[in-house]
Amino acid sequence: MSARRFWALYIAALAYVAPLAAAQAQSPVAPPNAAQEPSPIASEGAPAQATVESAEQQPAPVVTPLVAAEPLQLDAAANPAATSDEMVMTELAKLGLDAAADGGVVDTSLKFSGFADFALTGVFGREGDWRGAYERFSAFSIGNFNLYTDKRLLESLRMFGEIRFTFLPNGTAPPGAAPGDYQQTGAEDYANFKRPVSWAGIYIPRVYLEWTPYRFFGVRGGVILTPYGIWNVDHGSPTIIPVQRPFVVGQALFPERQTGIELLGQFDIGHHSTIGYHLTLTNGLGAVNEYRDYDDNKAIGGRLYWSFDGLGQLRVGASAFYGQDTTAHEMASFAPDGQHVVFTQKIDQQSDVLALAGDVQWKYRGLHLQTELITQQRRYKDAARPGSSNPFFGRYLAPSDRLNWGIYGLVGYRFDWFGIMPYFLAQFMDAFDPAAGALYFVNSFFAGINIRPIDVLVIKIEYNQSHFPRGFIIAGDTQLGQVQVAWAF
Amino acid sequence: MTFRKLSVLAWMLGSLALVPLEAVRATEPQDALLMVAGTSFSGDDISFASVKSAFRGQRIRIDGQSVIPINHPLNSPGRVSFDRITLGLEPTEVGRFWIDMRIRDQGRPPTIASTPELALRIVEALKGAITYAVPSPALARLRIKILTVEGKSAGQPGYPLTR
Repeated sequence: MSARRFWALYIAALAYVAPLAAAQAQSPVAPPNAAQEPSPIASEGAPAQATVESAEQQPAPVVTPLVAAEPLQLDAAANPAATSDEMVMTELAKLGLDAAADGGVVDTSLKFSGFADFALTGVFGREGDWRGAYERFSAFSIGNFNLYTDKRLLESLRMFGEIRFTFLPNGTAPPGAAPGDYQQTGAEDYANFKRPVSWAGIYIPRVYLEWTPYRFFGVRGGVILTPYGIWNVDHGSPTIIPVQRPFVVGQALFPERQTGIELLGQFDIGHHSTIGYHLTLTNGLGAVNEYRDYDDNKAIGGRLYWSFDGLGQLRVGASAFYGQDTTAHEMASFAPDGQHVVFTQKIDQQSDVLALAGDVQWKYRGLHLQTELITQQRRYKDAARPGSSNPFFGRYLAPSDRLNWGIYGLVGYRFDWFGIMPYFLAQFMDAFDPAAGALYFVNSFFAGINIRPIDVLVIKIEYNQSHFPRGFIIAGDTQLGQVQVAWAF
Repeated sequence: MTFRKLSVLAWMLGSLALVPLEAVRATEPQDALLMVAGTSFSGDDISFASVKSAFRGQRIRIDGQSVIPINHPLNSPGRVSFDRITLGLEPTEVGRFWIDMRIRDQGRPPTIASTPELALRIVEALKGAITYAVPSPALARLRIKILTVEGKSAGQPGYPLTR
């Protein structure tokens, strides 16, 4: 055989075999609806969308069953019980569904859930510095015990409430008081031979009525968590990666919660992209903003975000808030007629507050990246600038108009093994705290391990260190070690 | 036969052997799930966004009808693939995802049927209910309709419920 003939035969063989193989590869499998017996789907006139197009029309990849090893057990011979309507009715009842109702039934049961956490916190360093200001000795504590109540009233109407049970105010200093000026809440317990008991309080982070007629439009009314950034709404200790939220979130440059109305919704702009929004109209800031507005200037706010799930989960958001922060009291006096009492408002402090923030979060497989930049501009009314005599400096101090801001970045990686996530968080904040009368110019890092051995339980072991480049009223860096166990229920 | 001829022969036989290998690669299955609804379900198509939203615990209405997503049990093969496609979650992440969603008050997980077969039976009986299924001739015995997703049938290029 000559070389030329040999190559010709070889190419011919390739030309013969390859198309056969390709054709075999592209021939469709029998579609599920194209069983030997007539399909009831087709017979009812519904389009048989499940059929794979013929090879001529659609030279598409082959569709094969995912679970050839576990075929559906719908054959009466194979599973006689599966054909029983009674079995389906039992399942529906078990799931709280009702085939007789048009579209099922509304689950109006009252649902309770929540989260809690237990921690051991200790301050490293010399006696008398941060140990005295924060906690002199390491201590165990229950930080959060938050109970959720959730009830659907109608199909599109529901209520949601969150109550935090707390040991506060026992053992704490009132805001603005000197550290160490602890208050006690002891009382005689009449149900226990008047033995002393420390009463505690509750805090209501949110309670609202929600009407959601459409996915793109919903309304909430009540006490709401301000929809900004990532870790204000996402505030539960099992979901927060570090033991505590970053300083700039805890500092509440945006109000943590507000009382008023929130519009919210989301809509899709493609297979993988969603745009969401929140708009708020509230009492705004103020010492008693839960039920009182000391000025007639309602606060407005909003959040716009874009989420993309084409490559992990990416979310980019921007938030804004504008409102007036007023603290005032009413002064009673006699009217000129001398027969009636009139009230005059005395404003103690008043300022305009504009807060802006941006956030990015990307989760891809085990990787978790997250950052938030939060700013607040506060401008006091000249006649209503608060001030007080500082007990340490012995002189009158008043805050200036300023830009408060902070930023943090977190990186973590969750391993499948025991759900372990090592994480590192770096942060910076430049903010004046009116309650403490202190300026925080601080950079800090948290390094720790977040372990989630089961879905409802998180164990966190963390070290954090904060440095004050411009000095602080308390000398030295803070070094804190914390262990926390948080769980959802 | 010289070494050179032997080499050429080996190369040719090897290249011929690659043909069936390529064919095998072409026949590698692309996992696809079917979206299934009862015959009373409004319409024959559903958007991928609606599927994702419904199974992420958000309220979805199609032609005024509430969509009731029915999920399969955790770790059932169809569920594993479905969670990967629609939520981008591996089985170990699903529980955490729903715990976190509940804490944020951003939605509760869809109703979970005891078995994939019962999920189909529920869809058959309950107006507005949707679920998913692996392609199987057994589906033809049910009074259900298989929805196109984004106007595409399973097997067509761009069909979203494919891995």
